[in-house]
Amino acid sequence: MMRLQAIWTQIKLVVVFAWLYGWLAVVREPFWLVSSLLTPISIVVIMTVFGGLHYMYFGLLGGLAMAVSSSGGFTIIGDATYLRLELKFQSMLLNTRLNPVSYTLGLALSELTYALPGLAVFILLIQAMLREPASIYLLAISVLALEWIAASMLGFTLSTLLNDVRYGWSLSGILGFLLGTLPPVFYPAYLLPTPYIALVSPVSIASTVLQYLMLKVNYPSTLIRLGVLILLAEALVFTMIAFRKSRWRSVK
Amino acid sequence: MDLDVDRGRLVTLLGPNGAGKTTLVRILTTELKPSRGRLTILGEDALRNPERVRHRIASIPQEAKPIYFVTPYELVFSYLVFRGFSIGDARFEARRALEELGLWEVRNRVMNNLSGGYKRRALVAMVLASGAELIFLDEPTTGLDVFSRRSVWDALARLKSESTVVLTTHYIEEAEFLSDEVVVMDNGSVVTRGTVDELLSKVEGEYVVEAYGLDKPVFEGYSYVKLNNRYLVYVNSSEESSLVAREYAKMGGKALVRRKTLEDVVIRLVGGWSNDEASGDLDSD
Repeated sequence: MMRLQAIWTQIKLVVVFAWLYGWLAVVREPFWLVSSLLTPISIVVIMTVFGGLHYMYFGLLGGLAMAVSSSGGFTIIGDATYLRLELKFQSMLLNTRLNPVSYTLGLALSELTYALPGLAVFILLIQAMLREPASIYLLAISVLALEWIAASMLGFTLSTLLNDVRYGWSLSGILGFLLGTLPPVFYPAYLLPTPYIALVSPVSIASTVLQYLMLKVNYPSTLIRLGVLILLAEALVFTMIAFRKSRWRSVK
Repeated sequence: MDLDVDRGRLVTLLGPNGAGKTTLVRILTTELKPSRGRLTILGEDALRNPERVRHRIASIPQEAKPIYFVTPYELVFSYLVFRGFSIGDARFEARRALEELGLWEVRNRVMNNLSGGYKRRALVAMVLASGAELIFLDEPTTGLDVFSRRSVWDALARLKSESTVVLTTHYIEEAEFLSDEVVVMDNGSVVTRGTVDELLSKVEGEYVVEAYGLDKPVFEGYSYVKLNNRYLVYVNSSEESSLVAREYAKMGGKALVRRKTLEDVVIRLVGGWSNDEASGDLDSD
Protein backbone atom coordinates (compact mmCIF):
# COMPACT_ATOMS: atom_id res chain seq x y z
CA MET A 1 0.00 0.00 0.00
CA MET A 2 2.84 2.34 0.96
CA ARG A 3 4.61 1.46 -2.29
CA LEU A 4 1.51 2.19 -4.37
CA GLN A 5 1.14 5.54 -2.65
CA ALA A 6 4.79 6.36 -3.37
CA ILE A 7 4.32 5.51 -7.06
CA TRP A 8 1.16 7.64 -7.21
CA THR A 9 3.06 10.54 -5.65
CA GLN A 10 5.80 10.22 -8.26
CA ILE A 11 3.25 10.13 -11.09
CA LYS A 12 1.70 13.37 -9.76
CA LEU A 13 5.14 15.00 -9.60
CA VAL A 14 5.90 13.92 -13.18
CA VAL A 15 2.68 15.62 -14.30
CA VAL A 16 3.54 18.78 -12.34
CA PHE A 17 6.96 18.81 -14.02
CA ALA A 18 5.32 18.45 -17.45
CA TRP A 19 2.99 21.35 -16.58
CA LEU A 20 5.91 23.53 -15.46
CA TYR A 21 8.37 22.83 -18.23
CA GLY A 22 6.10 21.63 -21.04
CA TRP A 23 2.67 23.22 -20.85
CA LEU A 24 3.84 26.64 -19.67
CA ALA A 25 6.40 26.61 -22.49
CA VAL A 26 3.67 25.87 -25.04
CA VAL A 27 1.58 28.75 -23.74
CA ARG A 28 4.41 31.27 -23.32
CA GLU A 29 6.95 30.30 -25.98
CA PRO A 30 5.01 29.04 -29.01
CA PHE A 31 7.57 30.38 -31.48
CA TRP A 32 10.10 27.72 -30.50
CA LEU A 33 7.54 25.10 -31.45
CA VAL A 34 6.92 26.73 -34.81
CA SER A 35 10.66 26.83 -35.50
CA SER A 36 11.12 23.19 -34.49
CA LEU A 37 8.30 22.13 -36.85
CA LEU A 38 9.65 24.09 -39.79
CA THR A 39 11.95 21.27 -40.96
CA PRO A 40 9.32 18.49 -41.22
CA ILE A 41 6.74 20.86 -42.69
CA SER A 42 9.24 22.20 -45.25
CA ILE A 43 10.06 18.67 -46.35
CA VAL A 44 6.34 17.89 -46.73
CA VAL A 45 5.89 21.02 -48.87
CA ILE A 46 8.88 20.15 -51.10
CA MET A 47 7.67 16.57 -51.52
CA THR A 48 4.18 17.79 -52.45
CA VAL A 49 5.51 20.27 -54.99
CA PHE A 50 7.81 17.73 -56.69
CA GLY A 51 5.95 14.44 -56.07
CA GLY A 52 2.31 15.42 -56.03
CA LEU A 53 -0.40 14.16 -53.70
CA HIS A 54 1.00 10.61 -53.52
CA TYR A 55 4.28 11.80 -52.00
CA MET A 56 2.53 14.32 -49.79
CA TYR A 57 1.02 11.36 -47.91
CA PHE A 58 4.50 9.92 -47.37
CA GLY A 59 5.66 13.39 -46.36
CA LEU A 60 2.92 13.82 -43.76
CA LEU A 61 3.58 10.43 -42.16
CA GLY A 62 7.34 11.08 -42.22
CA GLY A 63 6.76 14.56 -40.78
CA LEU A 64 4.74 13.09 -37.92
CA ALA A 65 7.42 10.48 -37.18
CA MET A 66 10.17 13.11 -37.39
CA ALA A 67 8.27 15.60 -35.18
CA VAL A 68 7.80 12.94 -32.49
CA SER A 69 11.54 12.26 -32.29
CA SER A 70 12.99 15.70 -33.04
CA SER A 71 10.50 18.01 -31.28
CA GLY A 72 9.20 15.59 -28.67
CA GLY A 73 12.22 13.36 -28.09
CA PHE A 74 15.75 14.47 -28.89
CA THR A 75 15.11 18.03 -27.66
CA ILE A 76 15.52 16.50 -24.21
CA ILE A 77 19.30 16.51 -24.82
CA GLY A 78 19.38 20.31 -24.92
CA ASP A 79 16.88 20.82 -22.12
CA ALA A 80 18.38 18.29 -19.71
CA THR A 81 21.84 19.79 -20.23
CA TYR A 82 20.44 23.31 -19.86
CA LEU A 83 18.59 22.54 -16.62
CA ARG A 84 21.60 20.74 -15.16
CA LEU A 85 24.45 23.04 -16.18
CA GLU A 86 22.97 26.48 -16.83
CA LEU A 87 20.02 26.82 -14.43
CA LYS A 88 21.27 24.31 -11.81
CA PHE A 89 17.60 23.33 -11.59
CA GLN A 90 18.51 19.66 -11.25
CA SER A 91 20.61 20.49 -8.18
CA MET A 92 17.65 22.28 -6.62
CA LEU A 93 15.31 19.36 -7.30
CA LEU A 94 17.74 17.05 -5.52
CA ASN A 95 16.15 18.13 -2.24
CA THR A 96 12.58 17.38 -3.21
CA ARG A 97 10.36 14.30 -3.30
CA LEU A 98 10.99 13.94 -7.03
CA ASN A 99 13.29 10.98 -7.58
CA PRO A 100 15.82 10.82 -10.46
CA VAL A 101 13.68 8.46 -12.55
CA SER A 102 10.64 10.72 -12.16
CA TYR A 103 12.80 13.69 -13.10
CA THR A 104 13.78 11.88 -16.32
CA LEU A 105 10.18 10.96 -17.08
CA GLY A 106 8.95 14.46 -16.19
CA LEU A 107 11.44 15.99 -18.58
CA ALA A 108 10.49 13.54 -21.33
CA LEU A 109 6.80 14.25 -20.80
CA SER A 110 7.54 18.00 -20.90
CA GLU A 111 9.12 17.61 -24.31
CA LEU A 112 6.14 15.63 -25.57
CA THR A 113 3.70 18.16 -24.10
CA TYR A 114 5.57 20.92 -25.84
CA ALA A 115 5.43 19.05 -29.17
CA LEU A 116 1.75 18.08 -28.87
CA PRO A 117 0.24 21.06 -30.75
CA GLY A 118 2.55 20.36 -33.69
CA LEU A 119 1.78 16.66 -33.61
CA ALA A 120 -1.93 17.51 -33.51
CA VAL A 121 -1.51 19.58 -36.70
CA PHE A 122 0.08 16.61 -38.47
CA ILE A 123 -2.60 14.20 -37.23
CA LEU A 124 -5.40 16.54 -38.33
CA LEU A 125 -3.87 16.89 -41.80
CA ILE A 126 -3.43 13.11 -42.08
CA GLN A 127 -7.02 12.53 -41.01
CA ALA A 128 -8.29 15.13 -43.47
CA MET A 129 -6.42 13.40 -46.31
CA LEU A 130 -6.62 9.71 -45.43
CA ARG A 131 -9.71 9.37 -43.23
CA GLU A 132 -8.40 6.39 -41.25
CA PRO A 133 -10.53 4.56 -38.66
CA ALA A 134 -9.79 4.95 -34.94
CA SER A 135 -8.34 1.43 -34.70
CA ILE A 136 -5.53 2.40 -37.10
CA TYR A 137 -4.76 5.46 -34.97
CA LEU A 138 -4.59 3.26 -31.91
CA LEU A 139 -1.89 1.15 -33.55
CA ALA A 140 -0.13 4.21 -35.00
CA ILE A 141 -0.05 6.01 -31.66
CA SER A 142 1.35 2.90 -29.95
CA VAL A 143 4.21 2.81 -32.46
CA LEU A 144 4.79 6.56 -32.11
CA ALA A 145 4.80 6.17 -28.31
CA LEU A 146 7.57 3.57 -28.58
CA GLU A 147 9.50 5.90 -30.89
CA TRP A 148 9.09 8.77 -28.40
CA ILE A 149 10.28 6.63 -25.49
CA ALA A 150 13.32 5.40 -27.45
CA ALA A 151 14.26 8.90 -28.66
CA SER A 152 13.77 10.69 -25.36
CA MET A 153 15.52 8.05 -23.22
CA LEU A 154 18.46 7.89 -25.66
CA GLY A 155 18.49 11.69 -25.61
CA PHE A 156 18.52 11.85 -21.80
CA THR A 157 21.38 9.33 -21.65
CA LEU A 158 23.41 11.39 -24.12
CA SER A 159 22.74 14.57 -22.13
CA THR A 160 24.41 13.07 -19.06
CA LEU A 161 27.66 12.81 -21.05
CA LEU A 162 27.75 16.51 -21.98
CA ASN A 163 29.48 19.25 -20.04
CA ASP A 164 28.56 22.25 -22.19
CA VAL A 165 25.04 23.52 -22.84
CA ARG A 166 25.88 24.44 -26.45
CA TYR A 167 26.68 20.80 -27.23
CA GLY A 168 23.26 19.83 -25.90
CA TRP A 169 21.34 22.10 -28.27
CA SER A 170 23.61 21.17 -31.19
CA LEU A 171 23.40 17.43 -30.62
CA SER A 172 19.61 17.45 -30.34
CA GLY A 173 19.39 19.35 -33.65
CA ILE A 174 21.89 17.08 -35.40
CA LEU A 175 20.33 13.83 -34.20
CA GLY A 176 16.78 15.01 -34.92
CA PHE A 177 17.72 16.02 -38.46
CA LEU A 178 19.96 13.07 -39.34
CA LEU A 179 17.69 10.33 -38.05
CA GLY A 180 14.65 12.17 -39.36
CA THR A 181 15.83 12.62 -42.95
CA LEU A 182 18.61 10.20 -43.98
CA PRO A 183 16.90 6.82 -43.45
CA PRO A 184 13.59 6.13 -45.22
CA VAL A 185 11.40 8.43 -43.12
CA PHE A 186 9.95 10.73 -45.79
CA TYR A 187 10.09 8.25 -48.64
CA PRO A 188 9.14 4.57 -49.06
CA ALA A 189 11.73 2.04 -47.96
CA TYR A 190 11.21 0.00 -51.15
CA LEU A 191 13.14 2.67 -53.08
CA LEU A 192 16.30 1.40 -51.34
CA PRO A 193 18.25 -1.75 -52.35
CA THR A 194 16.61 -3.46 -49.39
CA PRO A 195 13.72 -2.09 -47.30
CA TYR A 196 15.38 -3.52 -44.19
CA ILE A 197 17.57 -0.40 -44.10
CA ALA A 198 14.49 1.14 -42.47
CA LEU A 199 15.38 -0.76 -39.31
CA VAL A 200 18.45 1.45 -38.62
CA SER A 201 16.66 4.06 -36.52
CA PRO A 202 13.55 4.30 -34.37
CA VAL A 203 12.27 7.15 -36.56
CA SER A 204 12.44 5.21 -39.82
CA ILE A 205 10.89 2.14 -38.19
CA ALA A 206 7.96 4.25 -36.97
CA SER A 207 7.58 5.91 -40.35
CA THR A 208 7.69 2.57 -42.20
CA VAL A 209 5.05 1.07 -39.91
CA LEU A 210 2.85 4.16 -40.38
CA GLN A 211 3.19 3.80 -44.18
CA TYR A 212 2.23 0.13 -43.85
CA LEU A 213 -0.77 0.92 -41.65
CA MET A 214 -2.12 4.03 -43.35
CA LEU A 215 -0.92 3.95 -46.96
CA LYS A 216 -1.12 0.16 -47.23
CA VAL A 217 2.40 0.03 -48.69
CA ASN A 218 3.23 -3.53 -49.60
CA TYR A 219 6.12 -4.15 -47.22
CA PRO A 220 7.06 -7.71 -46.22
CA SER A 221 5.26 -8.56 -42.99
CA THR A 222 8.62 -9.72 -41.57
CA LEU A 223 9.94 -6.18 -41.94
CA ILE A 224 7.00 -4.75 -40.01
CA ARG A 225 7.13 -7.41 -37.26
CA LEU A 226 10.88 -7.06 -36.94
CA GLY A 227 10.56 -3.27 -36.92
CA VAL A 228 8.04 -3.29 -34.06
CA LEU A 229 10.18 -5.76 -32.10
CA ILE A 230 13.33 -3.67 -32.57
CA LEU A 231 11.46 -0.51 -31.63
CA LEU A 232 10.16 -2.19 -28.49
CA ALA A 233 13.65 -3.44 -27.62
CA GLU A 234 15.17 0.01 -28.24
CA ALA A 235 12.55 1.65 -26.05
CA LEU A 236 13.23 -0.85 -23.26
CA VAL A 237 17.03 -0.79 -23.47
CA PHE A 238 17.28 3.01 -23.79
CA THR A 239 14.88 3.40 -20.85
CA MET A 240 16.95 1.05 -18.69
CA ILE A 241 20.17 2.89 -19.58
CA ALA A 242 18.55 6.29 -18.95
CA PHE A 243 17.25 5.15 -15.55
CA ARG A 244 20.71 3.87 -14.65
CA LYS A 245 22.26 7.17 -15.70
CA SER A 246 19.65 9.28 -13.90
CA ARG A 247 20.96 9.86 -10.40
CA TRP A 248 21.26 12.88 -8.19
CA ARG A 249 24.66 12.24 -6.72
CA SER A 250 27.80 12.59 -8.76
CA VAL A 251 31.30 11.44 -7.85
CA LYS A 252 34.01 14.02 -8.41
CA MET B 1 38.12 18.94 7.07
CA ASP B 2 36.36 18.57 10.38
CA LEU B 3 33.22 20.64 10.65
CA ASP B 4 30.19 20.40 12.87
CA VAL B 5 27.32 22.86 12.93
CA ASP B 6 24.75 23.13 15.69
CA ARG B 7 21.06 23.22 14.86
CA GLY B 8 19.35 26.58 14.64
CA ARG B 9 22.44 28.56 13.75
CA LEU B 10 23.43 30.56 10.71
CA VAL B 11 26.95 29.64 9.70
CA THR B 12 28.82 31.47 6.97
CA LEU B 13 31.60 29.95 4.93
CA LEU B 14 34.17 32.55 3.94
CA GLY B 15 37.29 32.14 1.86
CA PRO B 16 38.97 33.02 -1.40
CA ASN B 17 37.85 31.71 -4.78
CA GLY B 18 38.79 28.05 -5.05
CA ALA B 19 38.80 27.54 -1.26
CA GLY B 20 36.35 24.67 -1.66
CA LYS B 21 33.19 26.35 -0.33
CA THR B 22 30.96 25.31 -3.21
CA THR B 23 32.41 21.78 -3.28
CA LEU B 24 31.71 21.50 0.44
CA VAL B 25 28.13 22.70 -0.05
CA ARG B 26 27.63 20.18 -2.87
CA ILE B 27 28.87 17.41 -0.58
CA LEU B 28 26.66 18.58 2.28
CA THR B 29 23.56 18.71 0.08
CA THR B 30 24.40 15.09 -0.95
CA GLU B 31 24.89 16.10 -4.58
CA LEU B 32 28.56 15.19 -4.62
CA LYS B 33 30.05 12.09 -3.04
CA PRO B 34 33.25 12.74 -1.16
CA SER B 35 36.20 10.42 -1.80
CA ARG B 36 36.36 9.58 1.91
CA GLY B 37 35.17 10.69 5.33
CA ARG B 38 31.97 10.72 7.37
CA LEU B 39 28.94 12.91 6.86
CA THR B 40 26.18 13.12 9.42
CA ILE B 41 23.33 15.46 8.58
CA LEU B 42 20.39 15.98 10.93
CA GLY B 43 21.41 12.83 12.76
CA GLU B 44 21.47 10.64 9.62
CA ASP B 45 24.42 9.04 7.88
CA ALA B 46 24.15 11.09 4.68
CA LEU B 47 26.71 9.03 2.79
CA ARG B 48 24.88 5.74 3.25
CA ASN B 49 21.32 7.05 3.26
CA PRO B 50 21.26 10.36 1.40
CA GLU B 51 17.56 9.94 0.56
CA ARG B 52 16.72 10.14 4.27
CA VAL B 53 18.02 13.69 4.55
CA ARG B 54 17.47 15.12 1.08
CA HIS B 55 13.87 16.23 1.63
CA ARG B 56 14.84 17.82 4.95
CA ILE B 57 17.34 20.07 3.16
CA ALA B 58 16.82 22.95 0.72
CA SER B 59 19.53 24.64 -1.28
CA ILE B 60 20.21 27.31 -3.84
CA PRO B 61 23.36 26.46 -5.76
CA GLN B 62 25.82 29.10 -6.84
CA GLU B 63 24.74 30.82 -10.08
CA ALA B 64 21.38 29.03 -10.06
CA LYS B 65 18.75 30.68 -12.26
CA PRO B 66 14.97 30.24 -12.46
CA ILE B 67 13.30 28.88 -15.61
CA TYR B 68 12.88 32.00 -17.73
CA PHE B 69 9.31 31.48 -18.94
CA VAL B 70 7.66 30.83 -15.58
CA THR B 71 6.45 33.40 -13.05
CA PRO B 72 7.78 33.75 -9.48
CA TYR B 73 4.51 32.31 -8.19
CA GLU B 74 4.67 29.27 -10.48
CA LEU B 75 8.30 28.69 -9.57
CA VAL B 76 7.77 28.73 -5.81
CA PHE B 77 4.45 26.89 -5.99
CA SER B 78 5.83 24.04 -8.14
CA TYR B 79 8.94 23.72 -5.97
CA LEU B 80 6.75 23.31 -2.90
CA VAL B 81 4.61 20.67 -4.64
CA PHE B 82 7.84 18.86 -5.61
CA ARG B 83 8.77 18.94 -1.93
CA GLY B 84 5.55 17.20 -1.00
CA PHE B 85 3.28 20.13 -0.05
CA SER B 86 -0.41 19.79 -0.81
CA ILE B 87 -1.75 22.19 -3.45
CA GLY B 88 -3.45 24.33 -0.78
CA ASP B 89 -0.39 24.51 1.45
CA ALA B 90 1.85 25.24 -1.53
CA ARG B 91 -0.37 28.17 -2.53
CA PHE B 92 -0.42 29.55 1.01
CA GLU B 93 3.32 29.26 1.63
CA ALA B 94 4.20 30.55 -1.85
CA ARG B 95 2.17 33.67 -1.20
CA ARG B 96 3.73 34.17 2.24
CA ALA B 97 7.29 33.86 0.90
CA LEU B 98 6.66 36.07 -2.13
CA GLU B 99 5.12 38.75 0.07
CA GLU B 100 8.02 38.57 2.50
CA LEU B 101 10.55 39.08 -0.28
CA GLY B 102 8.60 41.86 -1.97
CA LEU B 103 7.70 39.73 -4.98
CA TRP B 104 3.92 39.57 -4.63
CA GLU B 105 3.38 42.52 -6.97
CA VAL B 106 5.33 40.80 -9.74
CA ARG B 107 4.10 37.27 -9.01
CA ASN B 108 2.47 36.88 -12.43
CA ARG B 109 5.24 38.35 -14.56
CA VAL B 110 7.49 35.86 -16.36
CA MET B 111 11.09 35.76 -15.18
CA ASN B 112 12.37 36.95 -18.54
CA ASN B 113 10.72 40.32 -17.89
CA LEU B 114 12.11 40.67 -14.38
CA SER B 115 15.44 42.09 -13.26
CA GLY B 116 18.26 39.91 -11.97
CA GLY B 117 17.41 40.96 -8.41
CA TYR B 118 13.83 39.70 -8.69
CA LYS B 119 14.99 36.42 -10.21
CA ARG B 120 17.45 35.83 -7.39
CA ARG B 121 14.86 36.70 -4.76
CA ALA B 122 12.42 34.27 -6.37
CA LEU B 123 14.97 31.50 -5.77
CA VAL B 124 15.40 32.60 -2.17
CA ALA B 125 11.59 32.56 -1.83
CA MET B 126 11.61 28.89 -2.84
CA VAL B 127 13.78 27.83 0.08
CA LEU B 128 12.19 30.34 2.42
CA ALA B 129 8.79 28.76 1.78
CA SER B 130 10.11 25.20 1.98
CA GLY B 131 10.34 25.10 5.78
CA ALA B 132 13.41 22.85 5.44
CA GLU B 133 15.36 22.04 8.58
CA LEU B 134 18.70 22.75 6.93
CA ILE B 135 19.19 25.35 4.22
CA PHE B 136 22.23 25.94 2.03
CA LEU B 137 22.58 29.24 0.21
CA ASP B 138 25.60 29.50 -2.05
CA GLU B 139 26.16 33.21 -2.68
CA PRO B 140 22.43 34.05 -2.69
CA THR B 141 22.85 37.81 -2.95
CA THR B 142 25.50 38.03 -5.65
CA GLY B 143 24.46 40.67 -8.16
CA LEU B 144 21.66 42.12 -6.02
CA ASP B 145 21.35 45.85 -5.38
CA VAL B 146 21.50 47.26 -1.85
CA PHE B 147 17.71 47.17 -1.45
CA SER B 148 17.22 43.62 -2.71
CA ARG B 149 20.08 42.38 -0.56
CA ARG B 150 18.48 43.77 2.54
CA SER B 151 15.16 42.12 1.79
CA VAL B 152 17.05 38.82 1.43
CA TRP B 153 18.82 39.54 4.73
CA ASP B 154 15.45 40.04 6.42
CA ALA B 155 14.27 36.72 5.03
CA LEU B 156 17.46 35.02 6.20
CA ALA B 157 17.02 36.51 9.65
CA ARG B 158 13.57 34.86 9.79
CA LEU B 159 14.97 31.57 8.47
CA LYS B 160 17.47 31.61 11.32
CA SER B 161 14.70 31.28 13.84
CA GLU B 162 13.29 28.15 12.15
CA SER B 163 16.16 26.38 10.40
CA THR B 164 19.88 25.85 10.35
CA VAL B 165 21.36 27.94 7.56
CA VAL B 166 24.73 27.49 5.85
CA LEU B 167 25.62 30.52 3.77
CA THR B 168 28.51 31.28 1.47
CA THR B 169 29.09 34.87 0.48
CA HIS B 170 31.71 37.32 -0.67
CA TYR B 171 29.88 40.20 0.99
CA ILE B 172 31.64 40.78 4.29
CA GLU B 173 28.94 42.96 5.79
CA GLU B 174 26.44 40.20 5.04
CA ALA B 175 28.54 37.69 6.94
CA GLU B 176 29.03 40.10 9.84
CA PHE B 177 25.39 41.08 9.99
CA LEU B 178 23.85 37.61 9.77
CA SER B 179 26.26 35.00 11.08
CA ASP B 180 26.17 33.23 14.41
CA GLU B 181 29.42 31.66 13.38
CA VAL B 182 31.90 32.14 10.56
CA VAL B 183 34.10 29.42 9.10
CA VAL B 184 37.14 30.60 7.15
CA MET B 185 38.22 28.10 4.51
CA ASP B 186 41.19 27.73 2.20
CA ASN B 187 42.35 24.84 0.00
CA GLY B 188 39.53 22.60 1.16
CA SER B 189 40.36 23.02 4.85
CA VAL B 190 38.97 25.00 7.75
CA VAL B 191 41.53 27.68 8.59
CA THR B 192 39.64 29.02 11.59
CA ARG B 193 36.13 29.39 12.90
CA GLY B 194 34.28 31.37 15.55
CA THR B 195 31.84 34.17 16.11
CA VAL B 196 32.39 37.42 14.25
CA ASP B 197 33.91 39.01 17.36
CA GLU B 198 36.18 36.04 18.01
CA LEU B 199 37.51 36.15 14.47
CA LEU B 200 37.95 39.91 14.49
CA SER B 201 40.03 39.59 17.64
CA LYS B 202 42.51 37.46 15.70
CA VAL B 203 43.63 40.57 13.81
CA GLU B 204 45.40 43.31 15.76
CA GLY B 205 44.04 46.87 15.96
CA GLU B 206 40.61 48.33 15.39
CA TYR B 207 41.20 50.36 12.25
CA VAL B 208 42.90 49.67 8.95
CA VAL B 209 44.77 52.16 6.78
CA GLU B 210 44.81 50.96 3.18
CA ALA B 211 47.79 52.68 1.56
CA TYR B 212 48.89 52.55 -2.06
CA GLY B 213 51.00 54.45 -4.57
CA LEU B 214 54.45 54.17 -2.97
CA ASP B 215 57.00 51.39 -3.52
CA LYS B 216 58.72 51.10 -0.19
CA PRO B 217 56.84 52.89 2.55
CA VAL B 218 57.86 52.68 6.20
CA PHE B 219 55.24 51.93 8.85
CA GLU B 220 57.50 51.84 11.86
CA GLY B 221 55.88 50.39 14.94
CA TYR B 222 52.76 49.23 13.15
CA SER B 223 51.65 45.79 12.05
CA TYR B 224 50.90 45.60 8.33
CA VAL B 225 50.54 43.28 5.37
CA LYS B 226 51.31 43.86 1.70
CA LEU B 227 48.62 42.74 -0.69
CA ASN B 228 49.42 43.26 -4.38
CA ASN B 229 50.49 46.94 -4.55
CA ARG B 230 48.78 48.10 -1.40
CA TYR B 231 49.60 47.99 2.26
CA LEU B 232 47.10 47.26 5.01
CA VAL B 233 48.26 48.86 8.22
CA TYR B 234 46.53 47.84 11.45
CA VAL B 235 46.17 50.59 14.07
CA ASN B 236 44.38 50.81 17.39
CA SER B 237 42.51 54.11 17.22
CA SER B 238 40.88 56.52 14.83
CA GLU B 239 43.47 59.19 15.71
CA GLU B 240 46.35 56.86 14.92
CA SER B 241 44.82 55.86 11.62
CA SER B 242 44.40 59.53 10.59
CA LEU B 243 48.02 60.16 11.54
CA VAL B 244 49.32 57.24 9.46
CA ALA B 245 47.15 58.22 6.50
CA ARG B 246 48.34 61.86 6.67
CA GLU B 247 52.01 60.85 6.84
CA TYR B 248 51.57 58.50 3.90
CA ALA B 249 49.84 61.20 1.85
CA LYS B 250 52.71 63.61 2.61
CA MET B 251 55.12 61.09 1.08
CA GLY B 252 53.03 61.17 -2.14
CA GLY B 253 50.89 58.09 -1.64
CA LYS B 254 47.16 57.68 -1.20
CA ALA B 255 45.45 56.20 1.81
CA LEU B 256 41.99 55.48 3.09
CA VAL B 257 40.90 54.63 6.60
CA ARG B 258 38.24 52.10 7.56
CA ARG B 259 37.20 49.92 10.45
CA LYS B 260 38.59 46.40 10.66
CA THR B 261 36.26 43.78 9.12
CA LEU B 262 36.13 40.04 8.51
CA GLU B 263 37.83 40.76 5.20
CA ASP B 264 40.98 41.56 7.17
CA VAL B 265 40.67 38.23 8.98
CA VAL B 266 40.62 36.42 5.67
CA ILE B 267 43.48 38.51 4.28
CA ARG B 268 45.56 38.00 7.41
CA LEU B 269 44.88 34.26 7.74
CA VAL B 270 44.54 33.16 4.16
CA GLY B 271 46.29 35.73 2.05
CA GLY B 272 43.76 37.30 -0.25
CA TRP B 273 40.37 36.92 -1.87
CA SER B 274 41.62 35.75 -5.18
CA ASN B 275 43.66 32.66 -5.80
CA ASP B 276 45.72 34.24 -8.55
CA GLU B 277 49.43 34.52 -7.90
CA ALA B 278 49.50 38.29 -7.46
CA SER B 279 47.13 38.20 -4.52
CA GLY B 280 49.25 35.64 -2.81
CA ASP B 281 52.01 38.19 -2.56
CA LEU B 282 51.50 38.67 1.13
CA ASP B 283 54.23 39.98 3.36
CA SER B 284 53.83 40.90 6.96
CA ASP B 285 55.95 42.78 9.38
